[in-house]
Amino acid sequence: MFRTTLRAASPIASRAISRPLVAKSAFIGASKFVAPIRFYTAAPVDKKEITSRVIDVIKAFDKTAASSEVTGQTYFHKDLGLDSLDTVELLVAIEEEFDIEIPDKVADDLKSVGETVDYIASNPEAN
Amino acid sequence: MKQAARAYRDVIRAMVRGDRRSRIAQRAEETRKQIAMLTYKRMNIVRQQNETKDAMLNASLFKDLQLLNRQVETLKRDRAENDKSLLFVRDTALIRDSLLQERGDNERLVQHLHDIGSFLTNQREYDELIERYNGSSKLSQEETVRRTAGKVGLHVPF
Amino acid sequence: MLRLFTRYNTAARPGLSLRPLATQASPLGVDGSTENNLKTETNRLAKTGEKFWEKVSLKDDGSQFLVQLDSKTVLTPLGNALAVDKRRSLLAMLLKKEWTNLPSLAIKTHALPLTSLVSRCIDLENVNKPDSDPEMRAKIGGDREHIANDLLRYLDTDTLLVFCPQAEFEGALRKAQDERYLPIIASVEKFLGQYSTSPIKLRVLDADVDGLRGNSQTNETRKAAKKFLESLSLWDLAIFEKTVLTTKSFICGVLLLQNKALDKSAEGLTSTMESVAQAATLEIIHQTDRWGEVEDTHDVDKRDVRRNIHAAGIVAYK
Repeated sequence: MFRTTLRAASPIASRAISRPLVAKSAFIGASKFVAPIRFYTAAPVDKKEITSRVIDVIKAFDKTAASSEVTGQTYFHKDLGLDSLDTVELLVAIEEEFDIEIPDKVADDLKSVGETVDYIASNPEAN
Repeated sequence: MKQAARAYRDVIRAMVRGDRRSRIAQRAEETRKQIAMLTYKRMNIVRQQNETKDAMLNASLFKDLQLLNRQVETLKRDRAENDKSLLFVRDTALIRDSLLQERGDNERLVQHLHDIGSFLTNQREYDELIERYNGSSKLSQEETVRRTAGKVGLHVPF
Repeated sequence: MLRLFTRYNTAARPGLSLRPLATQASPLGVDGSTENNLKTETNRLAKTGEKFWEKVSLKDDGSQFLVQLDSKTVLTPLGNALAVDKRRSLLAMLLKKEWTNLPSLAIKTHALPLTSLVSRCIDLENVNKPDSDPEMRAKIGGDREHIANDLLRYLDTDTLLVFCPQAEFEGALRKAQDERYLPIIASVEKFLGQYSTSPIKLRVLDADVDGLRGNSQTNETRKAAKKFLESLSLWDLAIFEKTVLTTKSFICGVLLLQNKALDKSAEGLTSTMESVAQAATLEIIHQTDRWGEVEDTHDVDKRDVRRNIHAAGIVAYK
């Protein structure tokens, strides 16, 4: 019975709804903040953008001290208080963000934001 | 320690990839449900609007409608892919514990962690392949019926 | 859209007491014989294919981890608690992950390989307790004697005991088989020798010498292999069964338990799970090298063999 009511209601509803909806979307387009869509390109990502994305990832990591300010000079262990396993988790997150796989030999030695950014910038696969 | 960290990296990598995929799918499902609920509310309001002659009520209904529209728009804009928290595994305590409990046969555990990574990767890739080759298996009964009918040019009346 | 919403609403109501719809029944257990109507989560899931919980958690009851959905313990197809020994904490974590990661309302049974195997382990243990219901035991094919006899048949035609003709693949496959299989066979003979008073010699099938014929092991070998199976815990027997069914090889079952269930494997039987998988699929590896992978067949099978072998290894590990 519930459903029959709905079905009866729907033609009216769809007609009546369409108008406010159109008005609505125009309104949003004009003044509302629209979530940026990232366009991936084959061109290498520049270091400034890499740094800011790496910092975004670090900020989303609940094991880092929330207050710590993160820059290119930040060290994972010394400044963020991450142990070696935390660092592994962070680097894997960064790998996912840039769609790359950091080889063990390199990952073993990445200790700071700057080193990580340098590595990503040097990796042609990163995007 | 280096070997242990590498094994840990293997597991975490496999977990993040698997988890992220299903968390994005779950979030999409959740969003879809919420949008369906809001749409239903919206329809009710529109019906009320059509029934009432009261200008005051009508104005307040219009406000409600706008609010609902805004909520739907926000939901539609939700992009789980951009959520950085999905790049992290939620609970790693049990693996960490097993790694930190210094046992004599660390080598065996390290190998096992690599195996877990390999298990998760193979399971994920298997799921992806099954999905790719049997694309329709995810469809509901109704959807399957509708598409089958569609293939021969029929329309199902629901 | 609306119907979906209303339907979900009824499904979302905490209704563990709801009788599952009996249509399109596909039991969750690996053995495929656990068709019954007990009200357990695994059965309900298998029958309705719908997700009906919010939160997955592990409960530590002192000696075991129980897998719980909305604080209710998940039950196996026979109604036993889905719980694992605390020494198997990694398995517990992965079981939880399996249930957490189920992508949507539509659930496919292949998404829960660990749950299936652990359920089989637990149910086998329970139906083999002295006071258990023999009917239940028969229902899930849980009779030790039967399982052992079925598994012994795989030793006659074991993947690792069948050698291809020299002429195939310019001898490459035969060479690989000789290199991989012969040392393992020798070690398994020695291993099975522990369960016999006389030395064990496995009969192999060499296509060049024997042509096409069946193969069967001697009575001594069968007896020793049977004794070995009797020495296994039911938990390990279920794992062994899973491995043998996946690899079509009794020997691979031995290798898996040796390397995963024990701290140290017997001499000559040390192996990674990847080499177990390779040994079990050596011929396919050569075929796909030669003719390429067939989509929807080789690529799927390759993952399927590995996910199953690893699942067995993960359940065995403690």
